[in-house]
Amino acid sequence: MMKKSFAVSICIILILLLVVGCGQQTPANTENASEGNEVTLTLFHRWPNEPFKGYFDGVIQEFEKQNPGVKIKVVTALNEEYKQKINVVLGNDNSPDIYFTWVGEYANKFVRGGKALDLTKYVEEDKAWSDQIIPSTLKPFTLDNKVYGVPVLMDVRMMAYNKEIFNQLGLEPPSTWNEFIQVLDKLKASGAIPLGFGNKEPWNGGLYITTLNQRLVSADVLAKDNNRETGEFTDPGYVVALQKLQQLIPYVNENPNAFSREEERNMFANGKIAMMPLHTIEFPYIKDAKFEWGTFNFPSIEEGKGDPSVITGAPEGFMISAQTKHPDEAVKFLKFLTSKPMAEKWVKETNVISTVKGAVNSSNSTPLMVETIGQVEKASDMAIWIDTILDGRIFNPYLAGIQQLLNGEKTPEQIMQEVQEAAKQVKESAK
Amino acid sequence: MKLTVETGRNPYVAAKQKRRRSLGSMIVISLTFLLLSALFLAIAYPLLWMVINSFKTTEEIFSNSWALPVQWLFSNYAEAWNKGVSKYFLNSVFVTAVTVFLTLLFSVLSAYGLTRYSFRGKYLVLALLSAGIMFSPQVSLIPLYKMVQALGIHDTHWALILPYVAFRTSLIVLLVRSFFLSIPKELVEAAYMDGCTGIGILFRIYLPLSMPILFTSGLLTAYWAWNEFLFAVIFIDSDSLKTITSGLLAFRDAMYTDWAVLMAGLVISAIPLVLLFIFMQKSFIRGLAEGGVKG
Amino acid sequence: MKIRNIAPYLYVAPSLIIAFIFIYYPVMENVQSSFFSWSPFSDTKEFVALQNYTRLFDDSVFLVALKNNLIHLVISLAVQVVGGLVLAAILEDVVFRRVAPVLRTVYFLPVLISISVIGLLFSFIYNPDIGLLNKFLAMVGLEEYARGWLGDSDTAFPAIIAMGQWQGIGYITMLYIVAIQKIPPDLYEAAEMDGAGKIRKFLHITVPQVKEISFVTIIYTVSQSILTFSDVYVLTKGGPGNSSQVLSTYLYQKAFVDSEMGYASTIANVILGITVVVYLIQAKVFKNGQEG
Repeated sequence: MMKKSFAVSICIILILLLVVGCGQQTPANTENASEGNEVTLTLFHRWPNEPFKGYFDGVIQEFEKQNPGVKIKVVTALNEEYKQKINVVLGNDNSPDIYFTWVGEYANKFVRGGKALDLTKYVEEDKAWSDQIIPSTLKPFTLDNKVYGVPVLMDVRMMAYNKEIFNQLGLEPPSTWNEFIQVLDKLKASGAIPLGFGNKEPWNGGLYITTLNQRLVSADVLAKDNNRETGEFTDPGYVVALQKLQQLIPYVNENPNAFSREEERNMFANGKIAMMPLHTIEFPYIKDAKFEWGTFNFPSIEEGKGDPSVITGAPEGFMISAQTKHPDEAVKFLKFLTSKPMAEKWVKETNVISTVKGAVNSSNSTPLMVETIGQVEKASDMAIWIDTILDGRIFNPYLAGIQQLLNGEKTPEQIMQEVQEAAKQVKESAK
Repeated sequence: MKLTVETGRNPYVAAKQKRRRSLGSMIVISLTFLLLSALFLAIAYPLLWMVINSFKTTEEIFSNSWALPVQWLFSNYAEAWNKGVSKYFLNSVFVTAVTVFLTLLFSVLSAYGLTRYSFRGKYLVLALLSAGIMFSPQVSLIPLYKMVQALGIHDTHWALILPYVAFRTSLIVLLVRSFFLSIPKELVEAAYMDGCTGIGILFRIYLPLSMPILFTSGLLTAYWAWNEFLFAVIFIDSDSLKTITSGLLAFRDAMYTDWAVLMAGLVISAIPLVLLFIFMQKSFIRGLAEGGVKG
Repeated sequence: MKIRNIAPYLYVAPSLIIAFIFIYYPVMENVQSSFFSWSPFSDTKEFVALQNYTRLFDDSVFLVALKNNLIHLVISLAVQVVGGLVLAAILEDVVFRRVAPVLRTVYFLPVLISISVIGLLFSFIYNPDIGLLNKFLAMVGLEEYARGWLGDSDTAFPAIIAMGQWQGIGYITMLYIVAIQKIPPDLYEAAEMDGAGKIRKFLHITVPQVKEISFVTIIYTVSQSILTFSDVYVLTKGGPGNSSQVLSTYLYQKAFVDSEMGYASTIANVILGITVVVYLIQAKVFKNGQEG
């Protein structure tokens, strides 16, 4: 009587084993197929969306045509998903050969963990290639004088303003903080909302502070504090920076923490706000605005110790896994990706700034973009996003504090105290 | 909150109650009905909003969120479909169908073993099986990924199906077991007399009576598998194997989300489950439960 | 006889095997990893014994998250389990027999809708300028309560909880409907003879009769509530400040932003610990051993 139940159960276990068994074979087969003379590289980038995905597919097709025997397998995941996935795949043994990264501490932790290949040799050997990359974009990929990554694109944050409103009120883009406040006062008096601020995603406030810190704190102090081993954040300039941000609260839309970045940008595009800090990668999203708009670099601050010509922005690019079996081919691909024709194609198809000299030009970009890249090429340095240059343990309380500052729940001094505390812990753990 | 409750289903009793209904109870009933309607509106209106907004441009969704579209953009649907929904749809159907089948199969067998027999370690087994619902998938990603690699199922649909089954079985076992427990013993005894065996009783007595809960369980497993994206993003590399939810994530960039197309894609992806539910729930939930147990 | 003895084990074997592979192995790894300080990018793991656990008590963000989770838990139990049972009983009442199928269908639908759309929808509802909620308050003359719901530290988390209840209640209600339909009608008839009113019938017949399913709905609601992640993630990402942080979002931040895997595992174990405790208490209260 019980034989039947026994048999059925066994069958089910067998099904389970079979299922697992089947699975095991599939990837093994694909691996066999790719062996032999063929080299397969895995490229992990963060653009499953157009136009970027199409660009990479096109470049890869071209590369594979020019390099028979090399195949590139693409793995993509967008932003947040990319962050999850990179932690998981690099935490295991079979990491992708080439992978995307932001710069700062975000990339440094890959380097420290031995996940990134030292590219110094390649950069020095092939000057013809490496010299055509804008030096200020290569610098953030360097740690202890060794190059660990290749910059591909560049994002810059500028202050965008509604020219129509400015012209009506006879306003000029300000160049100093006092002028900036005067402009804000006049805008406010006219009944407009002077400045947009959507800080639901707290990085937005973090980027305000990125700029303000750079303007107010001297470059070497900033460099020391951005290093996890020496960061202290005791310079009084940091408190002043938060006070300056506080000074802007009366001029921004109400409830900044309740608006998303997208809503902020839509308010600007609909002419509801007169100014907002805009990223170059966002330019295409407000192309439908029914008014003329322009940009200016953030104003200098009178008492500031930082160089006011520095722009806020950062390159993004690729690293090569230290475990890759085919470093030469991987480098070859990155060189191809950053060759001038491919860089021009990038600018043309994506409207995003390339890190290759001359890739952004009047044939493929708006005058505004050409002007912006001119500033990048001139700049000796840039203020890199606080949420990639610092350790998460420092920037998370920092950004949370800024949200509370906007809600009137914390003072600049309290925030900096927390940041100092966090920096101390990070410093200790770095030893 | 004072609410009236009346659960008599017997027509005779119901009829008697109807005659007895006083003015006071009429007021209570009306108020309850008002509350039910308010809840109905609070749920139905937002759902309608979602469908209506899937026909707007992203710009219009933000600037004119509560109005009808200026122009009904069916192109959002076409765009979503062409941008991969068509490709990911079948993957999702496959993953979901196999997940539901295996989850129900494993759960039913376990629940049956746990209710029909008494054996040593029974409650330990129950605890072990159900503990999966208490477990956060986020932090287990790294060990799970290692496991998926070790089994050699990385970048195949099994890398999704098997963890889904493991995680969902923990809940469904509990649900099915609680239903099995309430099946009257007499029915089982009677079946024994008729010469049914262990597995026979499961299929002839337990399963037919459990259709409502199996339907509800299957639907929930399907919903979960259909919408899951943490594992789907990490365990699947190839674009051709992606499921619909992880595929649709491509529309959500940090700086810009194409809400119009994304919403159209999400409506498309919700349709199969919603239709399945609407058309099947009536027969499953009311129909079978009615005569079922009494029978 | 021998086969008879192993038969039950065979029935549970498939589920157990798969649970061990995909749930218990990671759990073990997790417990182990909580005793170390490590990042996914470095090969070295530093043994720190219980330091990750003692650190929890000094971590103000963790404490906020824990508090939020407990609030979420209590409200979810009240609204979804108690409310869901009451709602199910009402829908099963003969009085509402004609409208019940439509209502329960609609109540259940949000369960089937992806959280990303629901998140977008509610961010519009809570929007300070164009949001329905503020418009509604203005309509009924309560403008002074209008605010930027998600940007305000006092209201951000309650707003998230409300969305969770909106989405979740239909599921529990459905489970109770299925359970109530199975209660033998003669029980109600007998009570009727004794002159029991609706509320008494609900308390004395419906509630005890749905005990088994209540065991499931409670444990399900508890675990869902403790694991709440997406609701917070799509609406506020834990902000403003850390006012709407919950354990899962904090764990996520520790694991994927701060790369503190050991500490993240520790938080995961806290989540597991809370649920296990609730589970045990519940098993005792329900005397879950006494079935036929």
